[in-house]
Amino acid sequence: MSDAFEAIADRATARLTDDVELRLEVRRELLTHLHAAADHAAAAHATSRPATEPNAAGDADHPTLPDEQGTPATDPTAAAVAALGEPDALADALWHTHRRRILRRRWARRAAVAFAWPAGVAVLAVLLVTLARSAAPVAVFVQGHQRAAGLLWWPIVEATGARPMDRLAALPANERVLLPESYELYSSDNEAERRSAKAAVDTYPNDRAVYAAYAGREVGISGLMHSLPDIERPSLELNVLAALLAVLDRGAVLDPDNALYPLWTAQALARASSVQRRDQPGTYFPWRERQWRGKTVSHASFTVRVHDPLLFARAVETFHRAVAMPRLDDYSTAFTARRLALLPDEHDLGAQVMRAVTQWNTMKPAAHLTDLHMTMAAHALDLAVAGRAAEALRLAADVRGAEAMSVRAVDSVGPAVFTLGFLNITGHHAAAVLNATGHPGEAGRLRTWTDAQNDAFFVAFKHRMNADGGRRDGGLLQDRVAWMTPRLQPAAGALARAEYTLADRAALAVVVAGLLGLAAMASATAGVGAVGTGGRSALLLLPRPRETAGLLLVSLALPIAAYVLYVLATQAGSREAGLGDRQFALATEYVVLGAAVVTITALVARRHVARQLNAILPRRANAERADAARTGAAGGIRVVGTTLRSMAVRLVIVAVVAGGVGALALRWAETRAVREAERADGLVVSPLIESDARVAALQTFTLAGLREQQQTFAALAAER
Amino acid sequence: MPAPKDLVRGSVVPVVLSLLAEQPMYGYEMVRLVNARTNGVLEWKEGTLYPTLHGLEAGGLIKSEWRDVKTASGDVGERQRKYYVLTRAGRAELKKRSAEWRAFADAVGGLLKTHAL
Repeated sequence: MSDAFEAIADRATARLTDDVELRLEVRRELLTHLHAAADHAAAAHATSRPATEPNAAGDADHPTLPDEQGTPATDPTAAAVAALGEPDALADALWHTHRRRILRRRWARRAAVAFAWPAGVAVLAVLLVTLARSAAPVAVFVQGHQRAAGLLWWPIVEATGARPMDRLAALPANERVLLPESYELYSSDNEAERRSAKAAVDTYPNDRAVYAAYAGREVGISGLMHSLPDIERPSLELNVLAALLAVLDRGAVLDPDNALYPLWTAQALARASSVQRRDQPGTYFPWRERQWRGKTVSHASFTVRVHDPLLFARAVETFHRAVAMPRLDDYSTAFTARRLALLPDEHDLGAQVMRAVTQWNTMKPAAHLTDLHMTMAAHALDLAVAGRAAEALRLAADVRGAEAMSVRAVDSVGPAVFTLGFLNITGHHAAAVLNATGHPGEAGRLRTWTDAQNDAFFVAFKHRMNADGGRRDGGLLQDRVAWMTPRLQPAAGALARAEYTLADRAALAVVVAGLLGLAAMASATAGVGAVGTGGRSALLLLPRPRETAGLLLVSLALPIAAYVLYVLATQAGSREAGLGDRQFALATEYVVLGAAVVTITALVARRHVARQLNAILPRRANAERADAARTGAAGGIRVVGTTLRSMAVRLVIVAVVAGGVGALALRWAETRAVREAERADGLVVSPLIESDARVAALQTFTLAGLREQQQTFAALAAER
Repeated sequence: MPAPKDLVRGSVVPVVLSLLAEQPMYGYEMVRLVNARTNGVLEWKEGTLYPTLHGLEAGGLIKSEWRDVKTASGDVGERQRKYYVLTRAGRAELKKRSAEWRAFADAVGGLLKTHAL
């Protein structure tokens, strides 16, 4: 009976092969019909029951169903088949009824095969390429750090041709020469930087700003900008000293009333002729430490050990001469502005990064004279202890004067830290000079001022560091940019957001790649299943409005769920860490995120497959499924294969929709953040430090104090 | 005496809707009820019912669901049947078709009566 019914059902549904799901559904319905008809025919034949009795087929749901009367069916199967009608005519009627759906599906299938996969791959490719292009400029921050991210990024940077330096290729040589040789944040190629700075001087031989930048580069390379206390021998070799002095002398000729060159000359001479040593016994400072806000603040005192008295005397004399000059100017503000004006006028993250690096990499030599001030202050104390009070007081006066010049010369937060943050060391040395020369009252007042200035510095510094809500979280840009200028805090925050969109896009790319991978797996599995059946298989695409709505819902729900997971579970998503550090941890989190999304999707898809099978196949599970697998138009393997392929196409569609929308949204977010950064002054040259109330107030307070102390020391020296 | 095929064909939709207005039914049940209630006048070829049902379902006038069949022994779940249920749109369509059919039948009846005289 079963084989006959199967054959009839197959013939009746033969024209529905393009819609396997529909065909199985109709086939199943016809089979139940045939079985019911056969059961009734058999019952009618076996018993001659009254028409109104419940039928003998076992149905209890419609007990009043009248039996067929007078059916002469001796063969129930033949009777059921005959009553159904001509199967080919039925096949035509069914085709006519369902032709629109079948044709629609045929075209949808073709469109899906033609477009879904290419679209999915294209979305992923666009996502990766745009991510690489946005990330490429940021990579300048990691090269030189030898981080894994740098190793990973640079090939992408090279492949996308998005290197920061490529943007400068079109500049004329006389403009290009003014820009940094490298856009790495921490360039280690000093020789290249020196050549670049020298080339700029050769192009603009009488340009004071260009020369100051070159001289600053030479000074920086020689190591004079770093303090070197507690060393045994002078650290500057004489041949290096000679070359450096030649550079500084030429600067002094070019810019005769600028204290920049004599101050650096004094520093070079001092570094070549002396060393600072910590005063271990603490004989100079009666005050070793103090309490501040529950913490112990130690005061270190230094003495200067002179190795070459003549050279050191030249250093002191040059220092006195420098302080007598009318101004100290390293032109860093003006030179940075010139450099920024040359950069391409583009409104993207890469352009902003280049601006940040340009600002960061422009030398600010006036701010790095701290070691000279410390050497001279320690030497003044040595003189005072040795009983040479007048010399000590005069030198201390000039130390205060030189420090005042530096405080005035700086215009951004980073240098301000150097000029404002180390005054406590020289201040306590100056107070010790007063103490040792018989001015304990003046010494006490200076100590009080010095401690107050230092406390105010820490308060301002801490406020500065916490100005963005304490979220200094390892972002590559934020950390640096916020450090530069107080007024650019909004720009720093906006750039941090732009930077985070890179992390978000990377996460989205992981999710889209995971979905496509899962779809490929399902498709491959379906392909293997199809080999077993050897027949055509149709896709179950957009079968019914309800399922279509479900597909759209999944397209929205899946990315949202993935985003929530990303925000809750990852450091970048929760904005706990940017790209600046913990990159291995971030990469691991991305892998885990991708795996979680794929696993959840696979579980949902598995349920979908199971539901499809349950709906299509009869619930008399084992026997009938085996039967369906062995016989019939589709068969069990075919059903699974078709369902999997349908799932694969849906996953690709989800990936396309989610990836496309997500990529657009994140790109928009990055653009918006960059625009916001531009509105916040766009890293256009460092605004004056006065714009930050706290730092400005501290600067004013410090400057007034230093000038007053300079006069006090000078007056006391004059009295001797 | 079975009715002519074209008359039967024209009446299938209102009859199906009318049956489903009573209660949800499966296809074979409808066939048997119609045959029984019309004493064979509307003799449906059973297979022709299904394209009609599917067309009505595609049009939103009826909807279908697979239900477990209760056997005489009371077991549930061994077998399933596809039941059709009239939707709200189907109910409205039935009302409209019934009115049309009555008007048509009255008109044709009147004409036939005149001719008979």
